[in-house]
Amino acid sequence: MLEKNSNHEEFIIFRVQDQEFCVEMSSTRELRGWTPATALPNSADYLVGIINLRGNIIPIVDLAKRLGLAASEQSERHVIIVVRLQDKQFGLLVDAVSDIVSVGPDDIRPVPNTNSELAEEFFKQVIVQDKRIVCQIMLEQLLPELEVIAA
Amino acid sequence: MNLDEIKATFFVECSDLMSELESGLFSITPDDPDIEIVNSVFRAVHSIKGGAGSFGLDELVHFSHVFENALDFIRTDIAQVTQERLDLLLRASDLLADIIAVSRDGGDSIDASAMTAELELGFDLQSGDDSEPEEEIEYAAVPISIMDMELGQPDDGNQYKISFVADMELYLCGHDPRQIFRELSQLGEYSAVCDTDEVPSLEEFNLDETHLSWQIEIKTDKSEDEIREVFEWVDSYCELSIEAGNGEVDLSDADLDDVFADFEEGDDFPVDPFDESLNDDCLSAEDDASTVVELPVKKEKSGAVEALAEDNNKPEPKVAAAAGKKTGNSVKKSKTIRVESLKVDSMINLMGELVISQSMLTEEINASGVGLSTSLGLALTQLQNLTREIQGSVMAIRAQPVQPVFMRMSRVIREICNSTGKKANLVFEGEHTEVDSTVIEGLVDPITHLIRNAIDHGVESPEKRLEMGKPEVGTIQLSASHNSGRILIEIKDDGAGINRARVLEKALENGVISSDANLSDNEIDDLIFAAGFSTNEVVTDVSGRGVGMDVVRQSVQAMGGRVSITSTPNSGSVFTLSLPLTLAILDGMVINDSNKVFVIPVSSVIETMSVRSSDISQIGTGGKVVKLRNNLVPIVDVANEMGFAPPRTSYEEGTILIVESGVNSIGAFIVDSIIGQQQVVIKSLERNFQRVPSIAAATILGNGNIALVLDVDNLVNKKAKEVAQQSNLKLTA
Repeated sequence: MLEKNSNHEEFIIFRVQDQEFCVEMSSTRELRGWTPATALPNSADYLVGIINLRGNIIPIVDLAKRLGLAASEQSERHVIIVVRLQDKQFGLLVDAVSDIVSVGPDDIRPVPNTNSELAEEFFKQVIVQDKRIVCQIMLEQLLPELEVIAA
Repeated sequence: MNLDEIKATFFVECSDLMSELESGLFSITPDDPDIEIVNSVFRAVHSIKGGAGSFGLDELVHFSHVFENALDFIRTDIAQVTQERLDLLLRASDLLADIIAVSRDGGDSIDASAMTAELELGFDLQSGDDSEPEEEIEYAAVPISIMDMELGQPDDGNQYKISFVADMELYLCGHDPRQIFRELSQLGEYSAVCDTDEVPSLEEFNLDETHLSWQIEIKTDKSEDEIREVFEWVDSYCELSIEAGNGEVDLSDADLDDVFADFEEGDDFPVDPFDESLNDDCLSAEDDASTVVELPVKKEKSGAVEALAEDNNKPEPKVAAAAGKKTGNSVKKSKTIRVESLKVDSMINLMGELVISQSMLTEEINASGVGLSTSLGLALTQLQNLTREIQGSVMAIRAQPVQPVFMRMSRVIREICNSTGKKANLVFEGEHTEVDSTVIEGLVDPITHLIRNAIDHGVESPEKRLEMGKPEVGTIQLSASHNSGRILIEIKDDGAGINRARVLEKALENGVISSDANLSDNEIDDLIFAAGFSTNEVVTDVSGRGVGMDVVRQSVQAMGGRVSITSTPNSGSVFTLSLPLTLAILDGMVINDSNKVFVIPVSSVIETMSVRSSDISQIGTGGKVVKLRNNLVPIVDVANEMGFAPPRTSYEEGTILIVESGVNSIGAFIVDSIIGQQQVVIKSLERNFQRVPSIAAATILGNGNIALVLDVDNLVNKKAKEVAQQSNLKLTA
């Protein structure tokens, strides 16, 4: 069992194309098996479409495509992590969920300056545990800007 | 609850009170005024004033006070009700609504002095009364004794004897007799005696009963009504009698004794003067109320009081009214509850879920081959029936009568009549017709516009109407009715009707039609809905900005409705709005194109057809049109338009749906096949995502999959523009 400590923050770690990323547990609503999504017209390629989450329509982001990693074929082995950002819910399509960790402030570092656009745009901070280094995804950056798509 | 919340509640109440006020004023007829209605209107204004006082909204207090005085004038003498006075009161109520709005939302304060002066003039008020409200809101702390005081010798003014028995209810509602006495003490010389005889010994004392009553004597130059006003807030929680007298006779409980004597005469039940049930009996049963009313007559018989004849008559309707109010209120309380609309909305959402889950279950069971006659099948049928019933009653919760919208229109009419110098009356029909609150919200703008239009363009000036042998005052009839699952709103005027020659001329001038067009009368009438069309040569404040009717049609269509017009020259026009009863559920045509399922609102579809390749022609570089009788209609290749499929090559295999998005704005959607027609629950994309061009909403089908509801207007207009750009072709050939 993980130690519960008020200083500690929980993260859910998942795999996308052999790399590990995480999001904060507090934003995560639920995990779902893969369901076929309904595509939206003229949408960005990383937007898989929309699915029915118990009567709510939520958009699904293909994280591999969004992060610019090699695209994976969607299959039933994929997992959807439903997250909540402010009052909106959306899903992240990932390869697999690998772990839930509880991390103290000492193990959280700022994103190192690697001159990588990807890192600057999408990563919030880095979790270092033993030999594991996991980047935390900045959820705010995942959905297309409202202005871009709105007619 | 903090002060802001209480204040918010007050403003919610204010809007209820305002609609009560307006509908009350509206239903008073000068020929046969109903004192009950005048009283209810008075109470509404009084409650606004009272509430405003406690929040220190001085402007509101001030104006509602003047308003109240004006109402009191006709309340006192109902024969004084005239049409002019009613009109003045209605205009004053508009201003009152404005002042309330400013108090609530902030903004420039409204100058009520003109209306105040008008009211004072119209109702013979003395402007000196104006200083009173301040006194009422800032209670000076006058130390008073409720013990025996010596009676002052009467020299001028009237002497009143007040008997006051407070119900438990009065205390429970947070009222305090001391405040009432304090207020009384400001009216004149006054004394109060507390009757403590009924207070039991400590052992028998019951916290839930009241035992105190008061005898108050007051000498004042104010009228009885003004004294009664002090008790206005508590009048349903107490037993109150006010007697006028010259003070020379000691009345010593005469009135109470009379009441009891009367009870004893009429009924056999034992009378305990301090039995609380007595109060209720007095006020709730009508015959008992009349017993109370008889009081003044009895007084005269006994010769105890030399009251003026008119004073004797006055209390009669009032006491009866108080009794009526009490019963009315208690009935109302048990009938309605105030529920946040969000809660109802979430219930409706869940209802939608239930419907979807149920149809998923049905599909599964049907697929498994279990027959309907098995117990499983029967249980399913029962579930379906229940769901349908629950759905009906849940929708009924949100259904509201259109009356508030109609009431608002009476104000619109007054304003336009003022600014145009025309005269018109508004007549309602079917204002209790109920429709989903989402639709109610969407009704206001179109109806407002159509009414403005009816007066501005329809109703003639008073002189002209007289000349034509019509009544000087025009009539606008606003009616609502249900018709095959839709609501029909009709706006009918008895004005000039549509001047077709002028409409044609204008349409040619603005390029809406071509010169060789041969149009039927109906088609000409329909032209007024075309974009950029306005026949009034002088652009007025009221209408005639040229954005009118096409906006009306658009907003109605956005709700899945239609607007149409029939007009007869010189006898008027009828505009008809037909709208769905709810915006939460839509009648959809489910279609399939390149293996994707879409929904098109049935209300947009005019006809479906199959085509031959020869009917289709290419315009310029991209756009294709199909020949539909004499029109060339731009084709919308649905899946391709969405980026789901390459452009369609063979049109003969597909089906064409002719859809309408506005007048002269039709499109031909080509799809692979039509799956069927069904009611779908609308799901917003914006809630968790954002607006998507070409898509109006999404819905969940029986199999749990999502289908997109197409935004017909968006798709048709986009296509029409493309085609027009490429060809410069007049589509209305």
